[in-house]
Amino acid sequence: MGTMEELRALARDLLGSGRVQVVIGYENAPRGGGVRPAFITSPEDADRLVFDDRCKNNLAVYLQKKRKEVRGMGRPAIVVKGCDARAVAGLIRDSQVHRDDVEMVAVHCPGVRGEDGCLDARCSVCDCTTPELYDHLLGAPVAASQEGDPLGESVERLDQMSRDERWAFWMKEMERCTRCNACREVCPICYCDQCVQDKTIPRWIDSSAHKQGNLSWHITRAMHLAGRCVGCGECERACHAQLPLATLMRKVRDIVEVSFGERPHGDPEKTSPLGVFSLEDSDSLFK
Amino acid sequence: MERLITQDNLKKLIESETGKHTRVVAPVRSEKGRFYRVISNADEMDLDNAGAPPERSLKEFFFPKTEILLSYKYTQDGVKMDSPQDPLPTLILGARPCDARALLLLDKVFGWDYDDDLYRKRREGTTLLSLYCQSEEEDCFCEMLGSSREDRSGSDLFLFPVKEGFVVEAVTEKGTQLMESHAGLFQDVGSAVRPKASQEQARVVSDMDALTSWLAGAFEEKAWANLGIRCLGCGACAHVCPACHCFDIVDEPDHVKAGKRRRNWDSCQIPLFTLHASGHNPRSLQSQRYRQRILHKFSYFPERFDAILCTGCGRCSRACPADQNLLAALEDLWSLAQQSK
Repeated sequence: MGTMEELRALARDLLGSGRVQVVIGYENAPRGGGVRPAFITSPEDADRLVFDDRCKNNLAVYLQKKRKEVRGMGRPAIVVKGCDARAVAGLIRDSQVHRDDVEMVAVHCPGVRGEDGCLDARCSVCDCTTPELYDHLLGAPVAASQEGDPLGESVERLDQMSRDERWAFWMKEMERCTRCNACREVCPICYCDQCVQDKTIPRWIDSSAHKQGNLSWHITRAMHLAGRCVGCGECERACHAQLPLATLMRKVRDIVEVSFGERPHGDPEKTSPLGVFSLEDSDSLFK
Repeated sequence: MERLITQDNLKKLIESETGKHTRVVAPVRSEKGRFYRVISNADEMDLDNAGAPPERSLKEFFFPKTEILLSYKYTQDGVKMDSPQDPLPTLILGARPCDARALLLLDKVFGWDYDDDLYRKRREGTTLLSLYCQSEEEDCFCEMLGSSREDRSGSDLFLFPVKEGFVVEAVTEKGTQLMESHAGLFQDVGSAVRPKASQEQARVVSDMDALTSWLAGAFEEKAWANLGIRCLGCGACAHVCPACHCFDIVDEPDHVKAGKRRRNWDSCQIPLFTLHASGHNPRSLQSQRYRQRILHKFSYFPERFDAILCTGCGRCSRACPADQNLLAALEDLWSLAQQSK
């Protein structure tokens, strides 16, 4: 049985038995030939579910507490790729969802592709084609589609720049940002009920979309996610102005690895590097 | 009046207009996509009118994503306030009809019960040259809303790409004046043949007036819960939309004694939009916020201003990170409307 048939049969079973009340997965979008998030609530609709290399969305975002209407649908099953499973692990780790309150349906994933058939940059050097956290694992193991490391190369290019050149690069990118917050809303780990950007007493981050406000926002977001970002790349996909956010988060990941010896993983029990102060943490920062 | 201009002469026209007394805006293609941008020379522009319109609309040249309303300073003689300077005259070239048309919608709001002089001065100081559109994008639906690839509304001049360059039609007095001031660059249209679209857009709603009427009574429909279920409440749709115009006003201190009051783009899709100081939020659910977007555009605005607050450019559907699609939503609502007859 192919993965898609397995998935539909499992969904039918989980819904029919009442084990879950909603299956959060992907379905064919009614227009345009892509996919869109699906919320399947009855077994008869399970055939709407699909899974293939168009399935870019990180559906873990729908498990956040602030997604009240999705929460109101009942106990969810969620279709997860490797990166998505790590995001769910992050939500569990940060007490945003209980492990028991979500049925994880994992699928092996060799990477997602654009309409042009090219592998998404975020999927190069993937180390979780087999998701690490799940209740059900569908399909057969697949090899990662190693097609270079565009994100690593972008980071490398930036690292080679002088500080002034790098500053000029980011300020040019910041010109296009309008503070639409797509990057924030699409990120499963940006689950805060009151985002620091929206705080007005006092106002820490200017909400205006001028360069300094935009820079404050993106630096703060990167810092708040450090050690918890799973590298799913959704922030960059969501950005209508095509800011290189996945490159920024890759650099943050690299810094976290150097400072704490840790990379994104799928274990909800393991504390996040910046979430806990350990006496063993390097103090090279304090020179 | 209609005349022909060659590519080279069009560049000459732009070059003579570009400079410190006029800013020129045109679509520019970069590796980051296509944007309307201020250009400093004619070679930067990309008048390719196939494919989707630029990522964002023209509204940021009239209603910027952030703009200073006033600056204030505490002095010995009290608080001194300064208004922003008058804007530079602007020439916009290569606008898509859906973007030009949207300005007429913004005009209704910014000139309604208050003379928004910041907006008005930019509009008065701008000459708009639109370009015949050859987009074949599935998400485009300007025709369904009564517009077309050659809709001249909102434009001062309308350009049709032809083998010899462009056929230029004057639409307004301002457009005629621009042509006359560069008369030497134009020539007879001769036998130039204007382009014709190869296919019509899909029309998922056959009667927009009927849909608008039905929506007036659709507030309590259960369908809204499903229509908005995947919406993440970001606001990208409002930012890329040529017609969305809601804004937030903030005061930003430079230091204790001086600062600026700014107006910034806002969106009804974010929870914060209707959050009261008491903590109550009349639109606390995403489906309520999504309903608001649809009803504002297709029911409330037509009721007040006799026009749909949408030009069918399709950007919201393209920009949405959660794959919400406006045409798909309208299709669903239309089939509900027809069932209820």
